[in-house]
Amino acid sequence: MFSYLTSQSQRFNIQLLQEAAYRELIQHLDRIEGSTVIALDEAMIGPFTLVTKPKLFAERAIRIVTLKPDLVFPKDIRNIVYILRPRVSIMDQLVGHVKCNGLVSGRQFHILFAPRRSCLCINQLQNKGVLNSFSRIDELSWSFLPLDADVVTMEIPNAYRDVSIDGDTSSLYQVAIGLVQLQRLYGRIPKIYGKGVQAQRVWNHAKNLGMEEKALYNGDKGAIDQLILLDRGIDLLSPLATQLTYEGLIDEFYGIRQNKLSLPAELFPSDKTSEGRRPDEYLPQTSEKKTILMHSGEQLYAELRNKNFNEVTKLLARKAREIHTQMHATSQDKTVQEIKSFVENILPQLMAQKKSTSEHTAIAGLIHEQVNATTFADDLAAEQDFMVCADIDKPSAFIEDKIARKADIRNVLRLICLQCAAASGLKDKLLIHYKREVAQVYGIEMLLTFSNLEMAGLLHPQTDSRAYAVLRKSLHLTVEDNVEVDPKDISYVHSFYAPLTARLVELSLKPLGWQTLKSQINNLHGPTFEDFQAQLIGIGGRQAGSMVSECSLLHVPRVVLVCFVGGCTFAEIAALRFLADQEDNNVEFLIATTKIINKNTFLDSLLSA
Amino acid sequence: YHFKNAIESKDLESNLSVIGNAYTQARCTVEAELCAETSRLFKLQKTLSTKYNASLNGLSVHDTIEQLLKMGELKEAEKIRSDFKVPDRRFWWQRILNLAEQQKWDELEKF
Repeated sequence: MFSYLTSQSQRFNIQLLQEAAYRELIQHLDRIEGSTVIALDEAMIGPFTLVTKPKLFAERAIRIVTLKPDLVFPKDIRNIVYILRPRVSIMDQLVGHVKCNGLVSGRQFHILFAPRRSCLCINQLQNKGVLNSFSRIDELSWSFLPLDADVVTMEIPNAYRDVSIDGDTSSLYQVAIGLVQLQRLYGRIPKIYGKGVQAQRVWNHAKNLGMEEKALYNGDKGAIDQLILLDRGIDLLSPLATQLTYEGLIDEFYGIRQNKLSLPAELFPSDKTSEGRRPDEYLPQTSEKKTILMHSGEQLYAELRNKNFNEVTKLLARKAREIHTQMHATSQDKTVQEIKSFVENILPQLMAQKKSTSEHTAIAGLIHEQVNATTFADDLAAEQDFMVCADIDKPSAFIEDKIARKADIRNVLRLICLQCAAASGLKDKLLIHYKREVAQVYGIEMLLTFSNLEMAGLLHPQTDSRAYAVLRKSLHLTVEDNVEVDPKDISYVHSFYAPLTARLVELSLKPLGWQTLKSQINNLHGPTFEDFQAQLIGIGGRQAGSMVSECSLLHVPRVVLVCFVGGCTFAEIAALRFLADQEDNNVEFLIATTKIINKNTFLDSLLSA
Repeated sequence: YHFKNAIESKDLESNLSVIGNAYTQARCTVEAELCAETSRLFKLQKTLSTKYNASLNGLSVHDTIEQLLKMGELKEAEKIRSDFKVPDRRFWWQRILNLAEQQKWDELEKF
């Protein structure tokens, strides 16, 4: 249904997932007769577009509206379907709707809670006395939704915060359900590795849920060979660091939501300048007004997205040169036949390609401007100082200056947290110093923010084991003389820092990798665990492992599901894709996350009171 | 103590002592200290506000100094600086930015 979800080279067909989610929705809708309006809660719009196309609803004469407090439905609509996240605050809106719209006879209200119904919500409806107005209350059990050919997401933006600050572990449970669903579709996963408290809880849930389903334990080995569950809590540095991949930068500056990037249209040169005479190197890209779709179905973007930004500029320049030379080549084709075929076959494509190239050049230009601003370079330099553990225990003069100038508080806190992550905790005196500084400049309310960050584990007093400093050496998290163009190592995504999570995955791919890794990551917070789900008679986990290695001997790529509990960044995805591209790894990744995050969204979710 | 702290953002400064006490009980000395400091600041702001006929209430230490500098009350600003132990580094940043803003270049030269 969505062309970008399939790619020929892949063993793993993610479309199954999309179709399953789609089917479920259809089933629910088919049970409802008569004209229908679907009201979507704001948080559901994104997931919705990942699964469906507007065409579906046009065919069934279903109208879709966004949930608003003062929504009034036309009289002739018989059914109103709410598709909602289970949040109590939304329920009050529903109550209002029912009261002012429920008078029409024969009208029915339905609720689909995604992903799960919550007793709180239903109680709330009951208390307001409108529960009886709803003829059906059901669940739409969407958990992992396909974002791209190798990425699935749950679109729960606050997962990390919910667990660490609010103590709401429902998102963990949801991840577990998601994992079981994945196994239902793709077969059971024989090997499971994991690190971190939350990750372990997820796996325990998943195991319990899986017990009830015998089907998961019969059958042959599924499409996924291995699962690596990683907790966001083990690596808080990576989400805070500035991403230097093309996609990561776009996300940080402008925000990519469900593959879509919205930019003011005037930033782009108009597309009707001259007719396209570019070579057909890229597939056409769909774009609506100001929204640009960003996914790997678009070749140019697929090529650019994971590159370090420094390389992107060069790449675009090279493309432009290639285009120039090929343009000359075509102008020398003089036969009528050739020109005819050119106009018929290639020209429409070329128009689209030209558009996509110019769009990306424009975006790259915009980002270039921002990247070249001195503040960006300064921030980055400070970050990188922390990453190599330079002056890590002293109050950073750079941060002090920023506070003194009353710079953006988010950025200040981010740098403090970064320092804390790199130093594996701040010395008491230093933490107090920062608290004083920030409270004096930004007001006493900041103490609340600090307490949030402390609960989330982003700020904490120093511990004896310097986990980061040790790991930096043992796992080569920072690489000197790193090349950003044609990189050899995943560290290019942050210019020279390799995200810990991605590095863990890389090392665990090696023979006996996880075993060696286990001792190295012992001083990271949280348990390390592994599990085998092979139930072939008499064959233990060990042999299941050798089965996999047989597979890789046969040059069939292993499929590894990497699951980030609490969100992952585009840079981490880029790093994993880079690993998958390396010949000798012979591996294919499926990345599962609760939400794609970046330094801004991650902090924002933690800061809000 | 998080509860009480949460009240603060909505309610008035009268809660500050309660919050401060709660912090002390939870052995968060910095926070308690800062709370005491803030209530001291609020009092000072009130007197200053009436004195200079300007609204300083509810501002942070930093903003208070900034406002005073803008009004040219260097003495008062210096006083707050010593009262609230503002680090030199930050204070001079403020002064420099402030002078630059007001384009008093000759004063800036004097440093």
